[in-house]
Amino acid sequence: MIAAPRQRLFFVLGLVAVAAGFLLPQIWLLSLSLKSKAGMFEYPPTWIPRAASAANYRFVLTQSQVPWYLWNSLVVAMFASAATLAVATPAAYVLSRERFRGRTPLLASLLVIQMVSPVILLVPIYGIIERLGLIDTRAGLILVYAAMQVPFTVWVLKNFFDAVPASIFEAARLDGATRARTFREIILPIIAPGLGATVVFNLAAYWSEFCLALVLLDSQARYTMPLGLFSFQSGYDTDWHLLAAASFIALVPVIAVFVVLQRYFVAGLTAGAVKG
Amino acid sequence: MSRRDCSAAVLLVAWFLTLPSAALAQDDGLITPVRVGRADAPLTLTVWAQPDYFHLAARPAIAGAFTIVLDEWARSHPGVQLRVSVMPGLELHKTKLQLAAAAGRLPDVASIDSYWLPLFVDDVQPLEADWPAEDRADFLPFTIQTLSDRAGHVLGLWHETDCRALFYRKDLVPVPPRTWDELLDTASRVARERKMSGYLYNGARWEATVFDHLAMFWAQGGELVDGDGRPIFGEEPNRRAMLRVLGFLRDTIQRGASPRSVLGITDYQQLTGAAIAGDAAMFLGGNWQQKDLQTGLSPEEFAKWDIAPIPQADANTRSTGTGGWVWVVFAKDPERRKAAVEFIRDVEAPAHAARISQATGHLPVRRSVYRDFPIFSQDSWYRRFGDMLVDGHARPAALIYPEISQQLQLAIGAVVSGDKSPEQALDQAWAAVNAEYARQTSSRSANRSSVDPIAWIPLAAAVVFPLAVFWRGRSDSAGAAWWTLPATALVTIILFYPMLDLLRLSLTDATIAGRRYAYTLASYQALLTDASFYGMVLVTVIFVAGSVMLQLAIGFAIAWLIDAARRRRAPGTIVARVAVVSAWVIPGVLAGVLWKILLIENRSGIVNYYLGRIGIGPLPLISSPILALVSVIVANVWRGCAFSMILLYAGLQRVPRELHEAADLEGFSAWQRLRWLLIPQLAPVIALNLVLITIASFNTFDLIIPLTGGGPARRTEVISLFMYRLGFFDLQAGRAAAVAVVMLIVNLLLAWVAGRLIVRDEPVSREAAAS
Repeated sequence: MIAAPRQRLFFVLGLVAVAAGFLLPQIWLLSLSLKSKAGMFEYPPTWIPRAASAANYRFVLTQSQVPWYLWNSLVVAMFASAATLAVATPAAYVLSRERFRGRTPLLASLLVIQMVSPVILLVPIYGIIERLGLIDTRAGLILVYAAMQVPFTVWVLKNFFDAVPASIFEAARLDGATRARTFREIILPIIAPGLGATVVFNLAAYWSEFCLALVLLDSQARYTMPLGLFSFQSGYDTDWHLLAAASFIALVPVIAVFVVLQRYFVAGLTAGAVKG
Repeated sequence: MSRRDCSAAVLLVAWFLTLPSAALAQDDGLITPVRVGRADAPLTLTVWAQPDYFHLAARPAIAGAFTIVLDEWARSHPGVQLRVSVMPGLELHKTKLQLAAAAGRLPDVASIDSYWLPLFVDDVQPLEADWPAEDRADFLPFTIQTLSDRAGHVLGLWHETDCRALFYRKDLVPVPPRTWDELLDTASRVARERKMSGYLYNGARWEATVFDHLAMFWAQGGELVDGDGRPIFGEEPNRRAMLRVLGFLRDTIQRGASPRSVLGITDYQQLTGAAIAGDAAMFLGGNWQQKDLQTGLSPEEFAKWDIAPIPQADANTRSTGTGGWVWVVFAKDPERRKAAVEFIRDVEAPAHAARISQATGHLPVRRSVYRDFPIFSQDSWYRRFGDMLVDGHARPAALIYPEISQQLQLAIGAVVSGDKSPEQALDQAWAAVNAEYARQTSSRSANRSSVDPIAWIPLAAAVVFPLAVFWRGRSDSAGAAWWTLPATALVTIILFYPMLDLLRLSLTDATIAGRRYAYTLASYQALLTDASFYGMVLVTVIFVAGSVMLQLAIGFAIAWLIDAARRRRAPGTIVARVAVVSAWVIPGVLAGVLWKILLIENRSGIVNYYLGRIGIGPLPLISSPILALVSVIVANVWRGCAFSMILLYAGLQRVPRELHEAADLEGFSAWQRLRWLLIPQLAPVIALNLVLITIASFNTFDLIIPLTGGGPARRTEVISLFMYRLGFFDLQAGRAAAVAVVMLIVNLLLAWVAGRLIVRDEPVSREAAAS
């Protein structure tokens, strides 16, 4: 259906209004990050800084621990998503393709656990990680993160496995392939988009996670980005211009990855019916 | 993933890796953000410093001073390196140290607020063995007295001090007020005539709100605790003094001397910011803010500012709160302890201390610095602040002080916001402090077992449950169950066992920092009899209901708009989608920080600027109880809309084309189409969406912490934030667990409903996954 030009204009204006409404806060953040400390309190406020400078970015990248935060976030997110995928994929595969005792209760439990926020479990999780001697280590955080996303990942991947036509499995079975071989050589390549969707989704979840990191990490050299940003709000004074620059640095990779890979995000979301 | 997507992703990651690795590669100097000293030095000391007092300080002058000081130390101590952490926000720093103390992970050296010392008295090491008496004699007497124990050990090295004063603009306030009445008169007159804030002060829920105003209590002769550390501020005559302070704070709002936005002031920077923006005639601030004003204002504007002693009830009394940070050494090993003491003494050597204090704007605590460095004896600011120190009063080094402060913060918030009368607020604070004091004293004397067989029950149950599920019969499909083992094991240990352990913990009086506990129902009792708990339930219900309805409505509107535009081939649908979802991929903390910046309450806040332009502002968006809750909801909706939008958009795309065509033929209006076609088609998706965003909103607090911190008073404190505070500020694991159990039940109920909806809707979501 091709609409009348005036009607189309209405829709374009609507879309622009929506985009602007959701982007203005980020644009204001960018504007602040280019201002000096005194420029922050200018009256009237300006969207385009009079004396824009990258000084705040230079400062946070060379004289603060922000590079460490980025690095930690990256390491934690990578290892955690690898671990999640490694344990969730085989489980999702058999849950989708085979019938065995405990399958239905397991699926149901995973679905329910997926929706319970780990925030509720902060106190006992702290207890476990402490007993394991993993407080203030990246390993401890990775372990919890990996577990946190397993139920979601299993469910999404199961849906992707479900969508693989049964004839492919039949063909593999007729060829005498074992379960492991069918899984490795035939099915994994087919569900690669599904793996992509979950990985992207999980990376975003790890990148944003704050509460667990707040509780499980002590040393600033191990802080992840959200925690690092939080720690910019210091005891007495917050330097908003620096915080804005650091925030923008944290924002860029997520938005960049999202713009490039957005259809995987959407696929992951709609497939798993996740927590928000 | 397609090859194009793959290569784009690889490029992104590669670009992104260069950022940190470029900085990390410079890791060869003597001073890096995580290490001071040679990387190959055999002895490593861990240091937990505070962010404004190390080479990582955001202010270049402080960072520069420390870089010089630390560089000198590193050159003369090639055998020692420091592993540096600068600890965030006051309370978090304290909590982290307490948790570390409980687990035996304390750093070798730490910088602590002077009033925390009682919390760590079992772990701090005496310094006098490596700290000669003649050097100690150079320090102001109160610093040594406050930090000495009864046996005469000196437990800390005070590094700087500060005091509070009234900052005022000479052009607006020709004669600084000496009493509260004068202050109220002057401030309300300026506010009325100049349409600006007459008098600002810290009024949000944080330590300074109490500490700044204690001077007004102490000046009347009030005392918080007696010599044994027992709270007495609620007994006469202290009670009367405290009531007068609270009454004065109530009057600041009632008389129009101060805007309600003081309830949102959570750091001194907001006071400086208002002053720089020209929106404050007077404020109650700290001496270091003089530096901020000087750097933020032009010389002629700065010349308008001056300081005066804090106005009091009676013009003839004076007092000011002196705080200060203290280096303490936790290292037990003699060699490390010696190196640690040497390090802090080096940093605080007179020449270094003078250099640092000049940069920080804090006040030195060494007599020789005042004597030998002209700036401190000649500069009129330093001289007058130095004079104020004579009437200085430090907070009591008592174990109960942090609780007193917590409760008085709430009391001040309730009085200033007009929720409670001074008497009601004080009585409530007094009761809460006494209850905590009783708990502290009884837990010290009670005899409890530290070996607990019951603790194993949840673990056993957690392991048995999945085993039983698989064990009930032989596998129908050989070995298939084994493939689920790693996933099941991980989820069982990290997620399922904690749920069961939560139940057990909620039946104890355990603290996070202690090993000993007893089984009791006290946590639930405390929860159910706590009036503020019901307030929080109400806040949570409003927050969740508001967020969910708006998210769903706006998410649906956007999804409909994008779908309709797409069917009309209008350009821009992708841009709109990316914009909406970009708000959702932002980490929650960052969203909170972002909205806090947007909603700053003085004129420099962008939202208030535009509200002012259209004639309805500036509004107290963070500090008014109702508006703060609205702000929190708006921020949450801004972030959460994308989730509803995506799910509903996917749903809309599945509405069969023929139905739309039929509607076209019937000549449906937009409303009829929505009512009779789209909503019935989307009903299952909407229902599922409703449940999922309810769960998400119910568990949210990462957004709220930076935005309002739960304030003003407790008007934006949702249950999840309450649980976190109980667990990780008050360290009461048992009580936090009881709250968490309530949350868990709500979550499980909602999850069960969602599960029913998903299973019914499964073919649909399967289809979406494949598309």
